[in-house]
Amino acid sequence: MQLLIEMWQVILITLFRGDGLISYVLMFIPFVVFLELPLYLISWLGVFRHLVKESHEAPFIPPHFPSITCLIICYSEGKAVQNTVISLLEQTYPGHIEIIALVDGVKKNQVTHDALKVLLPLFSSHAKRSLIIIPKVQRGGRVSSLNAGLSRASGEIVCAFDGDTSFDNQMAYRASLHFGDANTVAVTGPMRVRNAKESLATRLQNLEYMLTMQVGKYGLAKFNVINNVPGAFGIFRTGFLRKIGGWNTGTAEDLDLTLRIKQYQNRHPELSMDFEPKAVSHTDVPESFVDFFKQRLRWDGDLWYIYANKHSKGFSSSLLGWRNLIFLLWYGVLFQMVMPFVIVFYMIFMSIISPLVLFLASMSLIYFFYLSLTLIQFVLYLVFISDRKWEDLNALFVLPVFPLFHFFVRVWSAVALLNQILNRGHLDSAMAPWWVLKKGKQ
Amino acid sequence: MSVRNLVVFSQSQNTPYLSARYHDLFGIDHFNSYTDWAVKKIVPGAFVIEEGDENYITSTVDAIRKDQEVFDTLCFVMGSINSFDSHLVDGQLLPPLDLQEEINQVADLRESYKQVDNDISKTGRLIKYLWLRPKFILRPYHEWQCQRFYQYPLLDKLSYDATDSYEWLLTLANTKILEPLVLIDRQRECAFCRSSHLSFVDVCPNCRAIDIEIQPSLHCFTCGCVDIQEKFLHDGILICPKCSTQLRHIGSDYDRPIENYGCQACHQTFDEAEILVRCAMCEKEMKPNDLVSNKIYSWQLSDKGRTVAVRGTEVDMLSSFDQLDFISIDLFVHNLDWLLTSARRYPSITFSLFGIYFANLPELVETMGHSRLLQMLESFEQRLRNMLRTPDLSTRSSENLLWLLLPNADEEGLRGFQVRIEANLESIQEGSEYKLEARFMGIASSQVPSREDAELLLARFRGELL
Repeated sequence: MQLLIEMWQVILITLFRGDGLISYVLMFIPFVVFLELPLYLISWLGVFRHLVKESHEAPFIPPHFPSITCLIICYSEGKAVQNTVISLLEQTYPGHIEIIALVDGVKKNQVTHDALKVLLPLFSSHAKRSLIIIPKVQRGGRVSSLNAGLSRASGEIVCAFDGDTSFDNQMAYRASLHFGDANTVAVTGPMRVRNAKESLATRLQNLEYMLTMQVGKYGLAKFNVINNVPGAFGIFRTGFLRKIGGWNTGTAEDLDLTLRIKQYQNRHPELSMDFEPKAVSHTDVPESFVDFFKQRLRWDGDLWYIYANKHSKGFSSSLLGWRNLIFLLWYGVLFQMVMPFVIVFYMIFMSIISPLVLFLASMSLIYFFYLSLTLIQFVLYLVFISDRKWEDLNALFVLPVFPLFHFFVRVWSAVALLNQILNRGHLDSAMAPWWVLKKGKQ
Repeated sequence: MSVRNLVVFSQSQNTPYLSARYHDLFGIDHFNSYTDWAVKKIVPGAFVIEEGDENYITSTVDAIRKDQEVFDTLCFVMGSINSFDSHLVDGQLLPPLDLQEEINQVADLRESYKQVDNDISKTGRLIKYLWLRPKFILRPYHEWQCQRFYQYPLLDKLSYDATDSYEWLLTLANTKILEPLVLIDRQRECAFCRSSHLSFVDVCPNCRAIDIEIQPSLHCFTCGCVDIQEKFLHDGILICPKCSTQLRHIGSDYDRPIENYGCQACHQTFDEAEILVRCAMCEKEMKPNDLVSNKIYSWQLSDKGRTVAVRGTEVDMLSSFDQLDFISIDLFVHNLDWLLTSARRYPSITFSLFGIYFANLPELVETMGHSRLLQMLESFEQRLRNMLRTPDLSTRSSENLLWLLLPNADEEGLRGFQVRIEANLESIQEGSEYKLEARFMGIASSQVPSREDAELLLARFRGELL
C-alpha cells in the first residue's frame, strides 16, 4: 500500500513539474499514438462500416453454389482429423463438397490414415459429399500436400484446412457467397479456440484470437488490406490460385501467398480478399506456455523470413498499390517487426534512467492503459461481433492478465525475430523436411 | 452278367468301337441306343458311352440309372459331358488295364453285397450303388432354375417316384445311412414351399408400406428436440424448430440421432426398417426369422450303411441278441411274479434275476463304427448263449437293457454267473481299444423284500442300473 501511494505521488510530481507532463506523455507516443491506437481504430472503423452496411442494405444474394474442394492437410492429428471431416460432411451447403485428405508421411502417420478410412462409408449416404484420401508415402511438407491437392481439386473453390480444425455448418455456405463476386479471390473467417477451457494458456490465446483474428482481420479486410489468410483456414478461387502457381515452398506459405496476391493489387485493384464473420472455424491451440512460445518462435520468425528475405523486393507501390504498401509498412514492418524491439529497448532504457518507483509507476500506468484498451475492445467485440456471447464472456476472467500476456508475447516476438535473423530459424521447421525447406528462396 | 463284357453306346453307326486293346481284354457289344440294348438285356461289366450329342448322352445315362437291373453298373463316357450327367457316371473311360481292375473290384464288392429280397427299395438301390463305389461322394449340383438351387442327381434317378429327394435325403441322414462330409452351403428357404428364390424388401414397421426413405434427422442439444433436417434448415442455417437456438457445430450444438427412416405412407419415423421376405415361387411373405435354414452337404455312405450292405437288412444293435430267444416282457414279468410267490410259499424254490445294461452303445457306434461293434456284441451273445441253461428266460425291456431269469440259482450260483459273464466280456474285449461298458445287477430270490412284486423289482433295478 505504501508503495502504491508512493508511486502515485511520484507520478503526480513528474506530471506537474512544468514540462513534465508533455515529456512523460511523449514517451508513450511512439507506441500508442503512431502505431497501436490508429491500428485498432481502423479495425473498428472497418467493423462498424460493415455492420452498418449489413443492417441497412441487406445484400441480394443470387443462389450460387459452386462445387467446393476442401484440402485437409493431415500429419499426426490421429483421430482428431475425424472432427474436421465430419464437420465438413455436416455443412448445410447445398452444393457439392469434395474433401481431399492428404496424409503426409503416411507410414509414420498410419493412425491418421486409418482414422480417415473409417469415415469412407459415411459418404455413401451423402450424395453431394465425397472423400478422397491421398496417402503420401514420401513426406514432402505442407506445401507439397497443398499443391498435390490443388492439382486434384475439381471444385471452383478450393479450401486449405488443417487436420485439427473444424467448422460451423454454415461455413461453406457463407464463404461461397463471397465468390459470387467474380473479383473475390480469397476468403477467410474467424478462428475460434476450441480448447479454450483447457488451461490458462489456452484461455489467454482465446482472448487474443478474439481481438486479433476476429476483430483485426474483420476490420482490415473491409479496407482490402487483410494481413494474412491463415494456412489453417483459407478459401480461394481455384482458377486464380492455379494461375498464380499455387503455394510456394518454404515456411509460412500462407503469408507468402497473401503477399503474392497483394502484389497483383496495383495491376488488378479489383481483386479482393474478404473476411466472412459467419464462416467460423475452430482450432486447438497449444495447451502449455512452452508449446505456445515454441509456436510463436516459428510464426514470428517466419515474418522476418517472408518480409525481409523472400519478399524484400515486393515492397513497392508499383506492385502492391499505395494503400497496401502503407499498410504493410505500418502493420507488417513497424507493428510486427519493429515494435517488439522498441518495447524491449524502452523497457531497458526506462529501467536504467528512471528511479525504481517511477519505473514501476509508469509500468502500472501502461498496464492500466492497455487493460482499459483491451476491455473496451472486448466489450465492443462482445456486443457487436461475438456469435457465442455467453461462451465468450468467460474470457473476462483472464482479461486482467491479458496485458501482461500480451507484453510477454511482444517481447518473445523480438526473440523470435533475432533467432530468425541470426539463426535462420525458418530452416528448422516442423512444417516440412529440411531438404524441402532448403529448396525455397533464401 | 459278365465282367468280361463291355456294352458300348454310340449315336452314329460307323464309329470305330474302342481301340484294339479293349477288344483284346473284353467282349464288346455295340448298341445305338438304350432301347436296342433293352431288347437283349446283356448285363455287362461296364457301359461305355462312346459318342453322341448332349441329349443322347443324357437320355442314355438317365435310362441306365433308372433301369431295375443295371442301375448300379459302372458307366463311362468318352469326351465331354454336361455337369449334371457327370454326377451319374463314373467318369471318363479308363485305360484298358485300369478298367479291368475297376470292373473286378466292383464285381468283388457285388459278391459281398447281401441282397435280401428281389424287389429292392430305393434306399437299397442307393446303398448298393454306393457300396460298389467305396470312394463315391454324393455331391449336390447347383442349378439356379431349381427350386432349392441344389439337387442331388443320383437321388433323383434312383428314386423312381418323382417325390422330393430332399425328404429322402433327410431320412437317409436321420437313419445314419449317409453321413455328411463337407458343408457346401447354408441357405434360407421359404417356410411354405421350400424355395430358395427369395427377395428381401425393407418396409415400414408400422404400416408395412414399402415407400420408406432415409430422412436425415437432427437432435438439438439445447432442448433435445429430434426432427427431420428440413425443419431445421433456413437459408443455410440450422435453427431448432422448438427452441430457436442456432445449431452451428456438430458435436457441440447438435448431433445425428439414429432414427433415420421415414415412412411416406404413415409418416412414422424409425431407426430400423423391418425386413420382409417374399418368395418368388409361392408369392407368400414372411419374416427372415421364419425362413428355414438348410445345410447343403456332400455325403458318403456311413459305416452303418456299409453294415446294411453286408448284412442285408437294417438292424438295431442289440438285435444280435435275438438268438437268445427273448420272450415278451409281459410274459417275463408274469413268470417273475409267479416265481416270486412260489419262492415265498416254498423256501426250497430259489431263483435269481440278472440285469445287463450296456451304457455306452451310442458312443461306441460313433467311435468304433457299426460293423466292429456288431462283431463284438455278436461274440458276447455267443458266450452268453453258452452260459444259459434251457429253462433260463431272457427278455429286453429297452434297447440296451437285458433281463435274465435264472431258476434254481441261489446267491452263490448268481455270484458265479456274474464272475463268468465278466470274464467273458473281458476276454472278447482283449486287445480292443474300445471298451463296452456293461453294468450288471443280480438278486437271488431270498434277498427280495416281501413287499416287492415283479414290476416293482424291475423298476428298482432299472433305476439302479441306469
